Amino acid sequence: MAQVFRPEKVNCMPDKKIFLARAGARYSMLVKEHGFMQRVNALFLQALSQIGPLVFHTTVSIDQLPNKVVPRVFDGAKSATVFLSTLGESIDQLINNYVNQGQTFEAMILDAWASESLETLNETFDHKLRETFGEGTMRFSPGYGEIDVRMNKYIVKELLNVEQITVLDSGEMVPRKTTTCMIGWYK
Amino acid sequence: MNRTAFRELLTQRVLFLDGGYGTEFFKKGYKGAVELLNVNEPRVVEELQRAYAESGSDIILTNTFSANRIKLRSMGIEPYIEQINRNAVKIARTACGRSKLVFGDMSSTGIFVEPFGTLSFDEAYKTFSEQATLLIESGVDGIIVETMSDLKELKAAVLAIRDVSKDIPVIAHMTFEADGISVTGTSVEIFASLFNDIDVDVVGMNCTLEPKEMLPVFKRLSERCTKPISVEPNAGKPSLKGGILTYQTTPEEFAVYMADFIELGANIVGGCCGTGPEHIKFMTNYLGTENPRKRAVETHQFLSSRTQIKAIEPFLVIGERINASGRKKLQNGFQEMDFSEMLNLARQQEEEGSSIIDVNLGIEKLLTEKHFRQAVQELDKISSLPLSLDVQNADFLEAAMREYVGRPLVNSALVKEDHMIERLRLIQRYGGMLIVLPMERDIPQTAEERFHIAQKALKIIQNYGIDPERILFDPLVLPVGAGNDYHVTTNTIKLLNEAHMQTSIGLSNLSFGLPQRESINAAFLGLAVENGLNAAIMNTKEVTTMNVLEGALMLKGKSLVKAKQTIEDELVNMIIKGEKEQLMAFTQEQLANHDPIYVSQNILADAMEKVGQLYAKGTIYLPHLILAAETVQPAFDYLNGLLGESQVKLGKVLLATVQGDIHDIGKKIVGTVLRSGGFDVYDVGKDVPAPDILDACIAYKPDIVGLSAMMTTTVEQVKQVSDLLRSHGIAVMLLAGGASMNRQLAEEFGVLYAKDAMEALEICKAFMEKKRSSSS
Repeated sequence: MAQVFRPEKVNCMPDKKIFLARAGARYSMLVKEHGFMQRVNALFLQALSQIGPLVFHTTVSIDQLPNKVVPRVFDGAKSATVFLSTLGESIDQLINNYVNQGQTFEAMILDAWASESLETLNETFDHKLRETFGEGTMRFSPGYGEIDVRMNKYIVKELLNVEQITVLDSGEMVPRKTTTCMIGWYK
Repeated sequence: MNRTAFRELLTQRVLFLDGGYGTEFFKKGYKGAVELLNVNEPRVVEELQRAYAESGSDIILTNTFSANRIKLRSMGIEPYIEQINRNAVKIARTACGRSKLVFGDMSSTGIFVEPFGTLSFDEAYKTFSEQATLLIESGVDGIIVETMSDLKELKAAVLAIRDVSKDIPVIAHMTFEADGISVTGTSVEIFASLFNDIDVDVVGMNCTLEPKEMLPVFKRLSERCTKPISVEPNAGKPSLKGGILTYQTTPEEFAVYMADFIELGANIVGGCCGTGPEHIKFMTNYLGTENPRKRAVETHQFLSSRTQIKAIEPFLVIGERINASGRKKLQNGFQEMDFSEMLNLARQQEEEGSSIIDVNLGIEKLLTEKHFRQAVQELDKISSLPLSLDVQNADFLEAAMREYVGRPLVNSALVKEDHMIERLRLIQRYGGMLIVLPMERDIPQTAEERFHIAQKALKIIQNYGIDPERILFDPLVLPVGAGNDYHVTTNTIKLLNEAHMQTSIGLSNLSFGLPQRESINAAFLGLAVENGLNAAIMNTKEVTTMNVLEGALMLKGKSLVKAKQTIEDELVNMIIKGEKEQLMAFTQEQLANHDPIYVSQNILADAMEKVGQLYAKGTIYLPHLILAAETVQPAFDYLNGLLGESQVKLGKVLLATVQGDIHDIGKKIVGTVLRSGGFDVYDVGKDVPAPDILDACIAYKPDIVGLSAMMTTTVEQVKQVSDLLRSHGIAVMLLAGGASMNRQLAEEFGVLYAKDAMEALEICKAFMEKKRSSSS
């Protein structure tokens, strides 16, 4: 059974420089345009009020994982923590609402914000795990390297058994701002 | 911590300051003089400071914001000054040990410095010196002077601190309105230009504005300030929720905006009113360790007065006509402390296109320091252009520079070591630029010799640690009528220009003793500009010379910055300029054709209405408004004297600052403006309990009661007064204002809100009009 970590919102607040770069903009220049930054900051706060971040996680012996899930970079690892992070449904709805209203600017900024917010959350949880387990491998997600993104279905439904997340046959997950990650541990 | 270590720390990472004190104590139920907690309940202070330390603040402020003698006296706790300040440092140290920096917190005395208030510069200096001594002796790591709205008072504070310790880190903050101008008319740019020179380590702003309002104002500071910069916004405007005063900016919003301040180059970020440990914790968690950003700062030189700033580029026109040398009438006036002609000349030269004005009071042996101080104050009162202080006696020059509000030009220094070092010391201490004459004893005859001496001067300037950009070299203009070759001057300008040394000439000397001076001056100025001249002390009344200057600059692809739009209404102009005598004469002239009521209501009141509109548009500033109200009052009094019993008063207004609040200035300004607008005003003082206001209402029977509340800790008193008056059936309009009031809060209290004196006047007039029409 997966354990659940409920992060504080500050753990999901993305670095503005990075999420604006995701949106194709340069923070150091934009910050001088007061009106523009006002809009960005308002969206930042709106997004922050909408997210319901959660992390589902389990730590198992490497032997318990199917070979198709374990990347080569995990060689030598004895155990692994597999986790799913999500910002929840509301942020998807918020972005969709903007898209449906033809407010593409808002949708674009929020999409970049949410992606980077999720990454910030993963970074936070990554640090927390390393404080507990010590030396480990790099953080790895299905869809990268040799691990098929469709393995998400196994991770979400069989290993972590998370009901709130839908995994499509393509391996994509709903809510959209959801990722799965793994870290191998050497001890 | 010494300044070197502090400055080094500022290059390594962005530092976090703590949040509000008064508002936090208020939340906990403490009211009144919170500085007294240092003596009576030190644990309460320690608890808050510990919370700030734990929330990630690098700098903890002492609980001494109002702990200067003048402010403590007004609160009735002056005898505790030493205990309050010394205990404050001990408490802060106990709360955070040596792991954090403890900065002594200082702020305003609550009284404007002369000429807009009653406090002399020297009294302000002594007051700050005393508090700084107590804090520094008690072991603070640095001092912050914050929430200052008067540049002159801030200057007094910083000079005082620096004289107590050359090695204590100092942060200097002003507080600005959303338009980037302080209530006394000083812009962010003026503040930055002066404090780039004055010996502080960090320059910044705090209070009044919430983060999103402060951001564009702070951006202006980041573009002009060459020193590390800091910022502490408020957590929005206060509002009443469930009977508790709360601030609207959440910790999340605060943190999100503080990131933008860092991106704009802030080296220190923290919070002011309404921010608490939660805001600071959220901010430090979100922002973590940040490297200070590099900033592109405007490098051009500027000169300023309190309210006006002028760039040296593309050309500095220095009006020459306030010069008593050889002008007996002007000299006599100065001796008798009559500065009216000087003020006329200042206004004329501004209208003619001067960028700044040279002030030479003539034979200095006949004058005292007081003359120089008074001259500077008089010009400050009329919001004059920046000054070029043409003063020979070093003591008099220092007296003038001490009194001056802004960044002056000092005219001038000879390249004789003592003479020059003394003037370099003065611009280093008080800020400003300096004209250097490239001569020792005699005037060098060739351009090369003058250039050589200028280079020698440059070395002295650099060795002294003054930026050469702050120096204008005078290539020496000599009368051609005495056989001097003007080419020596133009060649000197050329040599200096090629060496990137800025130049300024005394133009009129060229044509001394000759006919057609204007033509000669104009022709020479054209040549000088062509050779790279940057500035000239000149007669701006000479239309040809001004036109040729404009043309010469146009040929170089430059143009003179036009003087600000002048106010065309002569009567309004007279009032704004403070011309009391002229206004009285004008009023008396009008009586030949009109009755006193007409003059009062249709002429003077109409002019004051226009003054109000100019203030609302930002064309004039608060000092103008006060001066205008004071100027027009004697004329109104005169007319009322003629009317006797039949005089028309718009209505009666009773003014009070609520209980627990000892701020007075805002209320006095409102009183002055209301009086000049035709109201009878009864000011019942400050720190007035609600029952006393009730008694005053019964005694004076006002139509309107105006309440002032500056502090977040006293704003609730407005509601108490309102409830009390209503419960006793006192039918008055209640109007509230002050830094801690806002429209929403006023609605919650069931009173009206006025953001400033002019709005108060408009509301009072509208109310009385409605009252009259409903009763008729």
